[in-house]
Amino acid sequence: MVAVNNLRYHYPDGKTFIFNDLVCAAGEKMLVLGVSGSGKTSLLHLIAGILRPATGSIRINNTEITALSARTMDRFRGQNIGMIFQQHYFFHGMDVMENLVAAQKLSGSESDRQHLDNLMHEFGIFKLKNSKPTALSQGEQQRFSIARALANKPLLVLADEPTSSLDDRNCETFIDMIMKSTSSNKTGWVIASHDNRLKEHFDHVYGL
Amino acid sequence: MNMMYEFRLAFLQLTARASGSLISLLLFGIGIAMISFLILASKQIDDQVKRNLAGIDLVAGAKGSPLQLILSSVMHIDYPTGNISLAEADQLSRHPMIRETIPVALGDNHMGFRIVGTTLSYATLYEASLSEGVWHDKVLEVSLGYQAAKRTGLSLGDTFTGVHGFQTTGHSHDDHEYTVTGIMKRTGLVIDNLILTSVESVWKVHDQEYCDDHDHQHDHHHDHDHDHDHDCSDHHHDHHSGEYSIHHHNSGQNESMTEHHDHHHADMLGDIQKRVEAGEDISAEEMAIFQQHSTGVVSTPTTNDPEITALLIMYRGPAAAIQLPRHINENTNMQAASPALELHRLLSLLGYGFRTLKVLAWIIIIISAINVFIHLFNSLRQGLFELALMRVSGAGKGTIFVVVLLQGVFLAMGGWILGLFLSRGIWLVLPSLQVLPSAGLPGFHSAELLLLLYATIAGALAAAIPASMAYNTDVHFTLKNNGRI
Repeated sequence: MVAVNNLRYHYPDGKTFIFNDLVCAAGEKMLVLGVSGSGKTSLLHLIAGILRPATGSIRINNTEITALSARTMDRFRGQNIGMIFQQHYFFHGMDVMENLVAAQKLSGSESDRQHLDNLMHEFGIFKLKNSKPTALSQGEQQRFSIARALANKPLLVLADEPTSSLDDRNCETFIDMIMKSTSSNKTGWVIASHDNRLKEHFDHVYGL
Repeated sequence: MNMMYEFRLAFLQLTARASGSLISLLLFGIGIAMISFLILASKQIDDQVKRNLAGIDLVAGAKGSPLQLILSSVMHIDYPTGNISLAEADQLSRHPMIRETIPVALGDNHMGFRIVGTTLSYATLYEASLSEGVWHDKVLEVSLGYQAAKRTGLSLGDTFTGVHGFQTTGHSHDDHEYTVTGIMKRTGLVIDNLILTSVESVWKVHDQEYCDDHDHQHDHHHDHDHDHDHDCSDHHHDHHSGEYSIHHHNSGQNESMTEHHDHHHADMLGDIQKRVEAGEDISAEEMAIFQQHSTGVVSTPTTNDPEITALLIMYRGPAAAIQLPRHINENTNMQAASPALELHRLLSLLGYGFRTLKVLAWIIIIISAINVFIHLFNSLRQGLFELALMRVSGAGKGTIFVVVLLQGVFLAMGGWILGLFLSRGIWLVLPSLQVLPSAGLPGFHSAELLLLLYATIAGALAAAIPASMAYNTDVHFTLKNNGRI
């Protein structure tokens, strides 16, 4: 479903990254392991179309995203790729529900509140739907972030150091959630981390 | 994504930083309120002035400032320039170029509302009609303007006394009581604030106190229904140079004075004079009496001619406009002033003031725009990750630009709405502070719509730099650095 071939990226300062080829099938969960500065974030951003490669190909579900225009890429990303970050980002002026609706609306889709309700139930944040995200605990914020990444039923979720700020218990919960997640049965996961706690849970590990 | 959602995002981003947004809104509001108020005020003044001219072509009055003459006898806001002789005014009235004249005799007020001695033609001039009662007919009967009746609380049959001059406090003509016979409908014109009576009433109040015979003095106050006796040894009150607050009723220069207390004063005066000449001490009270009487002797000419304050003139034809003012100024003791000309002069003077205030208001709006810029710039720095999040969620660069630009526009439009409410609030409060006559809630002016356009442009310009910064936000860099620049 995601196939990366001969990918090369030039940093503005002249440094060049050459990435190994990567393939992640639908429903597969892949861990990208590497120390900081090894290019994990850059790889994720290349796959998300936030960065553009110097050479090489990135195919997502038979779409060659390196060939898409900037505007088409933004829209493609919104509709097909969910993202989770190390920090929990959200719109401060909106409550949990509105934040999830925003993820759908900004991608150009109509809002599907039934799906969002299901997601919030699944991740145990339904009761918090009218709270401001700032009022949520660390663990709740993490679950909110996962729910948002899945708001548009994406083909692919890209997570950048999702567990680095979590304690062991919350880290376990996170792994549990994404492993058992029923809403993401067909979603491929690419998780970039230097967190060795994750290593044992993944079959596919991509080294940088 | 439809445009409505961009509106919503912009709005939510503003409310997320409510205090900063509120300050921007208030600043815009104050600037807009000032301009809006100036628009309302200048329209109102312009309108009032034009409607109050009421077809009066020329005003003849005592020599002095022509503007003052118009303001006092047409707009009823300034002190009169003095009095003119009725005989001279009468003679002028018979001039072939004059179609109609209306006399105006001023002198007193009741609770700040001027008592105007005139003919009923004056009411016709302003198309005033009665809502209650009948027009005043006999001496010392009055018809009240709408506001005068409302504010004083006087109703039909009530009696009141005039206070000398145009201040609410001062010498009261307690000997003569006016009786209300009619109350006028609202006209929105100067007549609303006037108390109309006959010229004879004004004469009576001012002359009778010392030139009527004894019989009259003993008459009951409510009973002054006889005609005024003009051929009494009538020396007229002198109102030169607007000196109304010091009233010299007892200026006993008239030797034929029959009133007993004036005799008393006259005796006293002689006594005081002797003592002053002898170099003796006199009390403060005696001093006052002495000064009052001696000034009376000097400044009041002895004349048997009744006076009025001004004569309102309507021309018979356009040729009069050229010849009549010159005729009056050169051949009589009066001066002629054209209301249209003088008020135009006044409005153009006011125009300078309005323009200066408008410049000040625009400076406030420019400061508001700078404030919007600073507010959005700071929001952007603190909320960069929100922009990155929007991009990650599928929003294009253009959307981001629009969302930030809309915030500037919203602040300006919100400020405009706030400003319009503020200016109308001030407009409604001012009459109760007695700064402006009550004019009701003003309508919406097209100039204010233009103001919206300018404000929106200012808001959009202020937001343009933050918006283009947002447009160029490096999503990769922002996310990699956890939303910090």
